[in-house]
Amino acid sequence: MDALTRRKWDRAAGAFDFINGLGAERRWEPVKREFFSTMHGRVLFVAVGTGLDIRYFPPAVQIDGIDISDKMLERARPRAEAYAGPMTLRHLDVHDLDYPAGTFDQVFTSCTFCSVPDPVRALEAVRRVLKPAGELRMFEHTGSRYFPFNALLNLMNPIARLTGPEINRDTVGNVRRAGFRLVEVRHAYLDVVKTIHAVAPA
Amino acid sequence: METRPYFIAGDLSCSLLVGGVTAVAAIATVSQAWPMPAAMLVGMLLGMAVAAVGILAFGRCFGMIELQMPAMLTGMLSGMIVSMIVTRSPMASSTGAAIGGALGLATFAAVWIADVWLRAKGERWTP
Ligand SMILES: C[S@@+](CC[C@H](N)C(=O)[O-])C[C@H]1O[C@@H](n2cnc3c(N)ncnc32)[C@H](O)[C@@H]1O
Repeated sequence: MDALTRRKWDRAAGAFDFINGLGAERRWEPVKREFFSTMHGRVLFVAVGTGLDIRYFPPAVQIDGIDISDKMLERARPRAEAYAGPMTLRHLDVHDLDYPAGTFDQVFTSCTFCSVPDPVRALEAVRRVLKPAGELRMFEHTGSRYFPFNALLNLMNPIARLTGPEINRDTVGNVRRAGFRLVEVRHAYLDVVKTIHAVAPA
Repeated sequence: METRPYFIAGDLSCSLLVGGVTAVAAIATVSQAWPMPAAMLVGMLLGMAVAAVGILAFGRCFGMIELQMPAMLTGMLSGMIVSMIVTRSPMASSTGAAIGGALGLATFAAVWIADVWLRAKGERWTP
């Protein structure tokens, strides 16, 4: 497990809901509701954080939530217990997924791949635990392809990564590099906040 | 596109404030004795610092990722433009604040239009 990443997110856990639980959640509620409504079968939710997203999950889905930070998971536990379906939480690094190959019908992520240290290796690990043609669904903020947004995100990234996420990643490219087939990318804000739908090889 | 009045009001207020405060800070820092490129660079850095404070202050209620684009761009533009003008002729703080606010409004509008355009530009891959 990556100790540096774990420490960074353990430190961020205390203020996480205060910073993200109000405006950002209100802003993205309609997009997230639609995004999570497609959950079905057995689902791996990568980086559950403090569990802010659990309220959007449709009931009765079998969900395995993981996160590298046990401080985050501590806060997520009551929300997971309140979920109307079978949901477990595990302290696990996405690079080290130890589930048997082909375990999950779907993998969901939400503001996760801006944070994991080696996104392509982590996405390859995700691909391994997906069933053939299993779905990867991501709600992520990424870098931009357009000036001046790309310049601004590149300029601010060194500061952002100190306390939390990287803000200039090519997550769509990383999904491809990890061997997924892209189905659809929808922009939710500029080309920076987006939902990504991809599938593992059949 | 964002049409909810709550978020439009929040994003716009943050940009207006960042533009105005940056301009006043630039007027207090830069003078006619400064070489223009140095003044513009310092103005831009001031703008980034003011924007960072604005984003932190407004971020909890409105979400940081979406605030940061118009606010950061406004801070940088306001700092550069007002500092550039000040190296040529003195400017009253009230005039500076009005210019900074106007730049905040223009930047907010430009980012909003870019958002409408880019949201329409999602991509589909046919199997
Ligand atoms: C920006 S937070 C998002 C949390 C949650 N998904 C949300 O949207 O509220 C990023 C999360 O990724 C987790 N994380 C970062 N690197 C990870 C890794 N290698 N494996 C598992 N989780 C990781 C952090 O602990 C943190 O909870």
